[in-house]
Amino acid sequence: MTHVAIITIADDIHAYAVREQLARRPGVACDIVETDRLPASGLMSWSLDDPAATRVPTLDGPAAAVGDWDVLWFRRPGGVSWRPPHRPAVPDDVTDPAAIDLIVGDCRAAFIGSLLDGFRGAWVSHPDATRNAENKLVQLRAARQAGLRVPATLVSQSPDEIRAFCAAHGHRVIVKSLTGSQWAPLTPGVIEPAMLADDRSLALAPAIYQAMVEGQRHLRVHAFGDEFIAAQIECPALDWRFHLAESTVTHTTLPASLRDALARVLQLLGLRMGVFDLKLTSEGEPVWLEVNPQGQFLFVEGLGDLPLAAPFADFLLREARQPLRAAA
Amino acid sequence: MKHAPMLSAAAVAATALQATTPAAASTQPAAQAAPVPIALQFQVRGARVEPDRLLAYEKKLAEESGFLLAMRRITGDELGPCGTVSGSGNDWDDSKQDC
Repeated sequence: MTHVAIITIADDIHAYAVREQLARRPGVACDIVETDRLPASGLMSWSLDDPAATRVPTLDGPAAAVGDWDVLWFRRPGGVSWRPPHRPAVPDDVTDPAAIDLIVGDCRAAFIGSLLDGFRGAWVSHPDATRNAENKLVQLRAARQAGLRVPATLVSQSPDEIRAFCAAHGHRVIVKSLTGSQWAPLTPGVIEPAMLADDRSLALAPAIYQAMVEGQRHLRVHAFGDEFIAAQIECPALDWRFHLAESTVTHTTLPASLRDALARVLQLLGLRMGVFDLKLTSEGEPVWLEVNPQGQFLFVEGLGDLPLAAPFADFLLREARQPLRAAA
Repeated sequence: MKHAPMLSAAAVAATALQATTPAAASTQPAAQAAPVPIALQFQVRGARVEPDRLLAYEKKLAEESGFLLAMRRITGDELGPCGTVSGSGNDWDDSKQDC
């Protein structure tokens, strides 16, 4: 029996879909752990003297032994909902901010610690690698090291440097946040020269300033271990994520050179999976935008008739059956 | 475009998308106005509109995977951030490990 664990938050349709795929395969068991429902579950325990007994609550059972899992899809481990008030499922009568802060922090620390200490299988992907790879600066460096074309980029809060960068690129520059905001959905935008006049807005926090890549063709590349499944998304808008109704999603094949470069990025970042965003110039040259260590992918299956849930389930099983790899 | 019943709560009421417009009406701050980080000036306004084809896919997926059944056990009318195949309400959950 192969045991798969999906670490996520409540009501994650990706988790359900992959679990359904796994259930179609013989000899596979799958646990879903909803990290925002750990508080008040009363089921998480770890003991210094008996690490094999480490257990965490699962969606369909009282608790699972983390040492029994062969592969762990480390999808949404934070345990905090993105939706306000951005907290786990703390009982309604617990309202003290200090108590909530402690509950969130201690549940997360105990859960992650239990995994780091007691799990002996394959991570998809390891927490350290995932955290590092989330950082846009680290990603950009890795992409350049891998030989990919990367847009001219400045990350800065220096008004003078920002203005000079924008002028040097003919004011065809987009700005985007390094992390986003839990409170407001953001999208990259083209900076108008007038926006550069407010030093205080520029100086508040560093942002990513990038030479704009013209064109309407984007690539969404799903790397599941050594398997690459790519879609082309054609969209007239700068950010197709919020314009899916105007987008066309089709399967595409990657040139070997691009595939190798993306594989190199994964290797540099220590990731076992990644969902890449690139943009094609009018000449068809791929330009790096970012990698999402745990990006969404089922919308591509739905819009592009591109099987992804099944290949992803197979990938998890391949990972589970490989000899233990060193932590990333 | 419309939202399937299963997603009516998750996907928020289908209002017209007004995305990628700078939130600030003017970049010349008023004398006492608090500054806004420049990246925050590009907020997505309104709910994402999901294509009918995607909604149909989500509905089928939810039925087949047991997701729909699980959702019936939930009180309240909003799904979490990973409740759709592409995002959460009007936002997009792609790389937020702590979402």
